[in-house]
Amino acid sequence: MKPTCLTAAVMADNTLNRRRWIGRLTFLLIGVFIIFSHLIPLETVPPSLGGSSLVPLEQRGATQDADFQVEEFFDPVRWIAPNFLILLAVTWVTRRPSFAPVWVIAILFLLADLLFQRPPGLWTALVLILTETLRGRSRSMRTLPFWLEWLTVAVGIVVISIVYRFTLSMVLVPQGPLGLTILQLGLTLITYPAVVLVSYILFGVSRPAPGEVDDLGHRI
Amino acid sequence: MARDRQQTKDFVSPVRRLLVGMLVLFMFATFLIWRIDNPRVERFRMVVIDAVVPNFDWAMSPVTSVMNLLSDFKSYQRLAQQNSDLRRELQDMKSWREAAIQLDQENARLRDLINVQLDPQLTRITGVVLADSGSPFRQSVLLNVGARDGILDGWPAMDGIGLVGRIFGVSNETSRVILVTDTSSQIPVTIQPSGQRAILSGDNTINPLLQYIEDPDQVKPGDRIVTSGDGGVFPADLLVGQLARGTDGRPRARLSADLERIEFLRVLRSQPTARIGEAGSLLAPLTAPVLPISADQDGETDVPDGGSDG
Repeated sequence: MKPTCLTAAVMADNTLNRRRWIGRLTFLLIGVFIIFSHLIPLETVPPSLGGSSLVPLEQRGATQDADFQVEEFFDPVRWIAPNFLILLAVTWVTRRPSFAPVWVIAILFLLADLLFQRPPGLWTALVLILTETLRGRSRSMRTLPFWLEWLTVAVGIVVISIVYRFTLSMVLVPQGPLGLTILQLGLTLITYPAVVLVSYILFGVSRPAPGEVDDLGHRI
Repeated sequence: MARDRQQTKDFVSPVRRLLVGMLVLFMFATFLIWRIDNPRVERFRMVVIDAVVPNFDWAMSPVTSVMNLLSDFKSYQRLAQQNSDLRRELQDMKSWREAAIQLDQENARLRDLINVQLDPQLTRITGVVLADSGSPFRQSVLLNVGARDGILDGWPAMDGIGLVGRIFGVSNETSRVILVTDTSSQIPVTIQPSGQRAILSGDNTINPLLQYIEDPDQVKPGDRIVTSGDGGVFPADLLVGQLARGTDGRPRARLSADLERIEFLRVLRSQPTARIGEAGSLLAPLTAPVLPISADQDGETDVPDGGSDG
């Protein structure tokens, strides 16, 4: 090898490294952004689709001879958001595993566990197991049609959700209502293509075609 | 080149797998420790929150303000409707005000008659809401006042009108308020005017349940609900809301506090209530009272010693 060729290879490695680090940093920042957007104090009422959960009440007027008035109550509407953090993690791990290293995922989810008043550690551990499984398969999942990828991810999320709920009930930790959990899970699974699309358009996280190489001739 | 990478990968893979396994085990261990030694881990959680959340206040509070502005703007659209509603409400309120003034005067006169002392220790600390729980399953908010400002666990938090929740978790600069709508919130209340005791327990809906009413026949929709002060956790007579019948037929509380828009909360300093440790020390004071007539002069007077037999 000629010396010039060697320098070029070193430089190429540097560019690759830099791109990888930028990707990791982006992943971390998006995760932190998602966590803090959940913490903004705008969701101080329990989730509800509106409507009324109370029977209308007859109110007495101020004076004895005043008419009775009927007051109706309506619950404030509050939607629940899909679990964007897990979607982010599985999307990036499936499509570009080098951008979503395991330690970043661990830090992000442990932070979320602590800030969201969840039992710390359990959800993080399950997400780590899921993302590591997907990471191992990411190479073979490149050739899958999108709906199969979606199905794989969906099954993964459903399985860890069930294990999470089951474990919590095993150790007698009080949990949210089942209906709400299922609703959120459904929303999360439906949102997967949107997260994939946004990741691709804004951050260029795409599935490399089999055998595709980057500008420098490395296999991705 | 490609072969090189493959080789390093083969070399790294088992080590990496080991590290990931240890990471997962560490997470499970954290969960187990949390389950076993809850208070310690919860304290750690509060320390983390204390360190992280106030640092992001610069980013979060503008967004909160803008969102509130937007929802205010939305309400301008139905200004005319709101105006007439308010006018009608004002009419009603005027008559209520008359009634209240009369009652207040009467109350003052009666208080004067029985020479009542109002509790001077019920002062308050106002805090700004920094963050919410971040999850649809938990109902809590984070305040920007903490141990630094003398906040203690268990103190009640109110908005201008009604009870909102109680302090649960204090760190140096922040404290967490569990709202009455949270599933872990259980508050002893009294239903006026019948005086029935009940437990206000949140079930993750906007209208918490009223459980264990002594005699459900004696309460009716529209009754006022106030805290009862049972258990010595809360001061008595803080307004909670109004009793209403849920569409599922169970008695529920319609909260007086407006949970939709909590920006500031008042934390009441509840006075330390007398703790009664054992039955023996129930009545007598710990030190022997100073008698107007000393025991020596009157040999038959028995001075209780240390309250052990009180």
